Amino acid sequence: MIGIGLRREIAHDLHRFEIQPDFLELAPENWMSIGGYWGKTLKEVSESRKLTAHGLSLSIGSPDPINWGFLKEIKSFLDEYNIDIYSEHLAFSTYDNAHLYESLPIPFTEEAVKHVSNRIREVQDFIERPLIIENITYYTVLDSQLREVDFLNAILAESNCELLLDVNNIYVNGKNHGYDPKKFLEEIDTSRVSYVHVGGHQTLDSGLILDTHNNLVIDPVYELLTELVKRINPTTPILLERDSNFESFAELNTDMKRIKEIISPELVK
Amino acid sequence: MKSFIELQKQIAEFSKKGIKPSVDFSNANTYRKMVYDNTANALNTTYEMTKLALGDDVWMSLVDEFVRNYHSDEPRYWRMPERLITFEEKANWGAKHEVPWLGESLKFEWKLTELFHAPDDTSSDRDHISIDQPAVFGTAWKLMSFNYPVYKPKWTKLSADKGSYSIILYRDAQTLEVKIEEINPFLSVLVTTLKENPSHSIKEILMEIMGANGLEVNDSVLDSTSKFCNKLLVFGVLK
Amino acid sequence: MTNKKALILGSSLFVASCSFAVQSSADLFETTDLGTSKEVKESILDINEVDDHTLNASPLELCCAYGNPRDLTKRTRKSKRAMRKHNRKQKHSK
Repeated sequence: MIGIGLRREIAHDLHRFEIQPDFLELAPENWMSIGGYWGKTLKEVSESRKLTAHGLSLSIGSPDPINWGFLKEIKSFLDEYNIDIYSEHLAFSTYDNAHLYESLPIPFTEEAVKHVSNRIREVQDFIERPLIIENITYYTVLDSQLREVDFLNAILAESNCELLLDVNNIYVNGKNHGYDPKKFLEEIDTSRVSYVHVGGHQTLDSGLILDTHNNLVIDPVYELLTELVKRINPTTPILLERDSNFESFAELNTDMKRIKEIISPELVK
Repeated sequence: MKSFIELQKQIAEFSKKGIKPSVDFSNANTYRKMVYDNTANALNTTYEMTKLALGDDVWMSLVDEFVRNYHSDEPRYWRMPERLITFEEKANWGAKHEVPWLGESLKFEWKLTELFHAPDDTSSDRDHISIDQPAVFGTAWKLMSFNYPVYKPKWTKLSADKGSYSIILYRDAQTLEVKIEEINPFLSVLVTTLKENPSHSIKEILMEIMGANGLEVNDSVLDSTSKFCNKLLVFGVLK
Repeated sequence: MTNKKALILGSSLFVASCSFAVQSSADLFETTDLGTSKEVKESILDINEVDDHTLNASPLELCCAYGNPRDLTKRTRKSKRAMRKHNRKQKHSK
């Protein structure tokens, strides 16, 4: 299954995709309790396609208490639209109960593993469905007691949760922090992958690569995706992440075609 | 070794307030820029008119203080700009910076956004309002009263423009666009009083208001009241 | 007999603020259609077309995208240095 993010710029142009998306991903914070024009749009698109949710504000890695009121609203929204896949960033976005509106990295420590794993278990019990966590890009390392891949694997094991593996993020982090993305892929517990993201990025003059989702996906990222699909269930949903720069539908169609070409041989097997 | 909570505190405080961390985090500036820009971009988009009225320098100074000092508890990014109104009120920012109309301008612009996205109301089964009945109000509308004409183009922003202004914002049921109807102080009082007295008929309330102001109620006034209320029915303000 | 609450009359606002001469009941009930929020915004911003996607800030989608790289204080210092450099170049080229 191949999907695309539900963005307002393209919400009424889905027919322009040469390969029709099987599902649409949205951020529940942007759509819950919305009426009027965009509420109507959401109802229309949800009638023709399955939805997945990729949250922004849960702040699973924060020391702040979980916002249960907010999570209750999320759950209602997921139930209303029959959304089974709810994923979130393995990050923190609140501190001292203030939202920062950005995903900040969690230190890679044993202490953080325990803290985050407890919270994941609590959230899963509350929402009555898996909380699928995503490997984020991080531009600074707060603590490297553990390697990133070991940190992730430890959380997956301790919380018994599923993984949204973002292959572009593996590439970006590998380049920014000097590790081999292919080795990362060999070491991550792919048996827990239930959702995949692939997207483009941007390189600054300084050499730092940013996870921008506004460009074509590059070949090395597609190479990672090709390796990954050999290791997971080929029907695992794969999302093309594109958040801006929608002037050219040709680019979107190019990336959708590439993804289809990569997964088709695995589906046939 | 610092606890993970202490490390998170340092990167969060640096990102939000620019407080230099005791640990050397490489590329920490990246997060500072992103935290600032994500908030600034939302505010710039929501408050385009206020930004223009204030001018870039004053606006950026307001945004900067908001990012540094305000603890937003709003998990929905699109609603975060509403918190600028709370910040402005608590800090009395407009008065301190000699822009007394700032709060009203922010409230007006925010209401346009909020109403556009407001949850849908149930439709009315009435096609006519009788003023012998109490008024029943819908949900997708807002009456706003101002001391400054913040909704008008090219107003002077001087105290000479200070007065009494009222508008009704409502969401058109067909086009789903937010529309603006300017009303006078009398109608503002009428609508407010109707809302506050759901058990009295429109006619009763009209007669009380007119009587309290020494104005005559005649057939022409009753007819005009009926026309106004039926206009509000079309707007979805009344049901 | 209906059990109604006493009518709350907030008419002091009207008495205090009514400064126009009421010619007729039509005046009293006159309203002005100012148009849609898009039209009002275009008029205030003095532009031809407000982008529908930013109109009323369609719920802004916070994704993982990076905002425009800017640090307010650094840019100000850089801008000032750049401006001084530019002015020096201009001076020497005359």
